[in-house]
Amino acid sequence: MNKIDVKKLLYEICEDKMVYEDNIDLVESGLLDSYAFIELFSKLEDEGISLQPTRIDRTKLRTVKGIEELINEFKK
Amino acid sequence: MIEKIKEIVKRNPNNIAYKINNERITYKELWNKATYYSEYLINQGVDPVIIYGHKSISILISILSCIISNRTYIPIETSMPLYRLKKIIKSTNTSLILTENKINLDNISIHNLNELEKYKIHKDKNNNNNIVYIIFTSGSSGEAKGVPISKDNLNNFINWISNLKPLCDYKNINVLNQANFNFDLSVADLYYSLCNGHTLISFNRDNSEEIFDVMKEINVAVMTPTFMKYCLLNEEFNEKNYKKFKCVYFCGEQLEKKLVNKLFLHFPNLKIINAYGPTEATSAVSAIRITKDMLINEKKLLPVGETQTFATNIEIIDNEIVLKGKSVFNGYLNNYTQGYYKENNINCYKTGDIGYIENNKLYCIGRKDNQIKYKGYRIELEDIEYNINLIDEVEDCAVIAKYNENNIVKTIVAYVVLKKDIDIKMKLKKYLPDYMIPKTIKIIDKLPVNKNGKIDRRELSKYE
Repeated sequence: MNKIDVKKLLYEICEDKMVYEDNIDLVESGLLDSYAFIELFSKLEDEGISLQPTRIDRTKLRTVKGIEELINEFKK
Repeated sequence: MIEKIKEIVKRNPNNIAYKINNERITYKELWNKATYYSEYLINQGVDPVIIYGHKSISILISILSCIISNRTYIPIETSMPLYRLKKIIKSTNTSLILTENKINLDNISIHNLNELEKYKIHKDKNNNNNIVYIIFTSGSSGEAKGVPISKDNLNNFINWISNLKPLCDYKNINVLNQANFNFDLSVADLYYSLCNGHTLISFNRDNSEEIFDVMKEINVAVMTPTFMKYCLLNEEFNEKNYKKFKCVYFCGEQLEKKLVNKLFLHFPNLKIINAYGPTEATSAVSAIRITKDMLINEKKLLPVGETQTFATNIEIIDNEIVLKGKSVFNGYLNNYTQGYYKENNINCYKTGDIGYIENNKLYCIGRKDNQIKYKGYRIELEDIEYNINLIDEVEDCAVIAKYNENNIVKTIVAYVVLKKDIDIKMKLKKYLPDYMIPKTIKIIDKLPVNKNGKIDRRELSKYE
């Protein structure tokens, strides 16, 4: 499986270049609201990664790095 | 409607009417408390009444008390900014708000639902009111527009949904309430449940893990497709683990085939209803059972109704879905007229939805105008533009929706020309609820215009 470009995926969902900023807090900035959260998880599922909403550390959703960590966790 | 609930109270007084978090209330308790509140409302002599708050037992008691006392209720979520709320108060001449929340407003009585006994009892006043509730939706003029729904409208809807297959076959079941009470999807679960003696179960936070515990108890769920999309992210949400879940009623958004496919994989025997209708015609006017064979036909869209079970007369006029008859409201508040008209003294409403009827099935393709559905809410893009333009530092703006590959709105983008640098999202919180604030604000030098001098939205959508 190719490495998933989380920033590109987030840009496709939010259409805001802010997602490319380093250390941006995705939740605080409003980029990853409840709706974008569902879109992100669905897109990841299409890529074969099923992040389980009941089994993830939600604080990791605040950053791109955290989301990448979740992806690696669920790939295993 | 009142008679139906009274009958249930008499027959099954100790059945649970409503549950939220760890709290519950029986039909008898609900009725007694609502009667007490209703006497209070009659004594206050006020009409209409704003019910301000989030889902709770007190809010449900308040709704029923308004119905018993023949007062129009206006459900308002706490996410509504004060600026918008004040305009609603003015346009409805409301003088009383029932709430559990702290709120500061001038010239209006704010009565805490837990302290009603403190207030002075006034003389009884007669009331010939025919309006049960007013739901406010986004308006293209920049102000929320009030949609009054009458007793006849609501009774027609209750009879329709209570006789809809397979909903009419269930006895003493648990019904899920997902939508807030200011969103008319909740009219379906609230009245279907209460008027048929079922138990309505709410939860507080969307997209929380809590829903997966709540769903264990649910037999029939009323929800938006987006919310189901969230539930299905959990691979353990399936027939084996959720044995009680028998039927889902979708409304408020387009239902994608992809979602239904996935839903059948998780719940092969689930009964799926896809319903359609605008707030102006009392929550829903049509519905159809979605079956597996509908997924394999050549059509991209799923139907939203079948002619045999329409709640009201539905016609297609110039490709637009037009509703006529019992479900249709009697016009907006304050003479706002868009889409509403009378024909031979019958209420009619041009929905703005483009659709067609084929093989006795109703299909909805899209919109004629700039109205969108986002996060389950109906939003007029002009409403957002109007409110952005209220900010002093804004020179001009245009708002567009961006769609995903299935033609469903994924985000709202505002293009703004500024006189001076400013945090627009922060300023907009004063005027708009969160779900209407564009996720992305793009600052540009000038808005593109077409040959007619109008803003060129197509060109805007190409902007990076």
